[in-house]
Amino acid sequence: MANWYGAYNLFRRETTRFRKIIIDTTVSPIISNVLYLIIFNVAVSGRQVQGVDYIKFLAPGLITLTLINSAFSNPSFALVIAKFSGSISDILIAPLTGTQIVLAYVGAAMVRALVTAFATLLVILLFTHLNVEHIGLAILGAFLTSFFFGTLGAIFGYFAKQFDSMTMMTTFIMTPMSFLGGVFYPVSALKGIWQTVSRFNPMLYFIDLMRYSFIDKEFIPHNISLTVAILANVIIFPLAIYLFTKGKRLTVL
Amino acid sequence: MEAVEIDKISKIYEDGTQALNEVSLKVREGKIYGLLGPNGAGKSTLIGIISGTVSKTSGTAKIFGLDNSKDLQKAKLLLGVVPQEVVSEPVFTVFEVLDFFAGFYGVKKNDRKKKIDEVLEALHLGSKRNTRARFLSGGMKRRLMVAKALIHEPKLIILDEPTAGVDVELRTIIWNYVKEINKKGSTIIFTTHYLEEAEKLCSEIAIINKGKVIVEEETDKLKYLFGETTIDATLENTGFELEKILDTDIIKFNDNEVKIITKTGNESYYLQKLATLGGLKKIEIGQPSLEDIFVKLVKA
Ligand SMILES: Nc1ncnc2c1ncn2[C@@H]1O[C@H](COP(=O)(O)OP(=O)(O)O)[C@@H](O)[C@H]1O
Ligand SMILES: [Mg+2]
Repeated sequence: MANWYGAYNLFRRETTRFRKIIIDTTVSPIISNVLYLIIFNVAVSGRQVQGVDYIKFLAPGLITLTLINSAFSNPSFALVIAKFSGSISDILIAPLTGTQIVLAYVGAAMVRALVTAFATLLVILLFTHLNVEHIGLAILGAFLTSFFFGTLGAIFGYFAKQFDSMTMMTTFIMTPMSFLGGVFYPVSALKGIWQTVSRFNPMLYFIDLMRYSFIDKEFIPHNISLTVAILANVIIFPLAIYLFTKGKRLTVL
Repeated sequence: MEAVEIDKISKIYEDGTQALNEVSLKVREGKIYGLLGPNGAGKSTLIGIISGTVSKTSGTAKIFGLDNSKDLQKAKLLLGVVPQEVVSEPVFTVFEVLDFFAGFYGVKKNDRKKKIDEVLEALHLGSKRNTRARFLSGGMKRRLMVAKALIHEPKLIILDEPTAGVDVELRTIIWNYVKEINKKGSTIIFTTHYLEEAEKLCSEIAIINKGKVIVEEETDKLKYLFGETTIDATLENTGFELEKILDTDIIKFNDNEVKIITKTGNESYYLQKLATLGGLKKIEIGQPSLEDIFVKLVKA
């Protein structure tokens, strides 16, 4: 008898956590997305990228970025804070398996990411008309993206030893990766070596896949993006389960 | 049945510290069991291993017959644990903390509500139900931790210094509730710095020092095994020859006052002897406290 109801309650706790600080977790990324839209729309007004209006190019990038950041932050912050406040002992004491703990944290990350990204989409629709060309793929892509970055966030939270490491990760890894991942401009515009570097950036594939599903334009062939996105999930999920089952780094700091 | 059966558990931390060295213990179901020992003795490590939050280097730990390296989740379901470190929770209220935690153990929504109110009432936290947990005082946070451990009515409750830094009145509140739960059938294991607490509450005690069990014994028997009783008597006669009736246990002997320190349990023998001398004016008997025994054993 596996304690799935217990796991559901951990999921419930982790979704309640971000609902309780909804201004920080959901409203503020939406507002910054609005600002991006306004600023870039003024700055790049009228220009076409990949054969579409810039704002239509940017929109799916922002939606994906929102998915990525929200999914990553939810478990990583929760775990780091738990390590500092001591409440990490909760998940060690609780009768839950490593798999259940990962699923609960990642599930909550996905809820937050999908809700915030959907709200971002609604806000974007106030600015521009946006068709979703391949809706099935968009939904699949959103799930794959939030699942992957939720799991990545859980793994990061698992290893984190300092509060700083959170900000370091965001500033020095997540943000540059998103810039090199083609959120704000097409990777094809990058010169020489940077284009090669970009291809090693996993974010690129998620972003490109999402953009393809919205506006039917691709830099990486979408079958490849989709394959990479699926593979990335297939690799990272067992790794997370392995770590959380061992649980060595889930200690009070 | 044994609630806990620890067999030859050793723990060496990653930095090489040997916290436990072949520790074996048995805790029978329904008991209140005290785990005592000086700071750094290995109590928290042992509790961590029993509750499945600290890995062991070798040995086996069984909880109600479940080996916790094979049936960890099942074993955890039977446990309620109060960790030593005070925990705070940044965003949730007292009610939410308990609601989620009980949920982890599979307690259903309606039962949770009822149980939470009951536990909060018993631990005098009722008025803090909707306060954010991080705004509680230290003593309240401790009681919240106790509440978390009890909320799912576990068969075995392990408390690691639950009363550290809690004032006397609140300590009584905590222990009264724990005793009540013990009466309903739960087994209790706890550590404490307050030896009077252990003496009053536990029917059995283990003393560990430097990662080893020095004694594991029923509390009452501990006194007879290791305790010394002091008899201070004032006699009416002076100049009698005590040596004739008493042996070498006499520590002090001057004029008409006698101080006898003897192994606990032997006092009636000496009292009788003294009485035969006649003229027993005053008598005081000092029973050993657990603290005396503790100090003696740990120093040895
Ligand atoms: N995580 C850890 N890493 C290394 N050493 C530890 C760790 N936790 C405890 N110890 C060491 O193990 C010994 C026993 O500690 P502990 O079980 O906390 O004792 P007690 O609870 O009896 O005070 C101490 O020497 C302590 O410093
Ligand atoms: Mg301790």
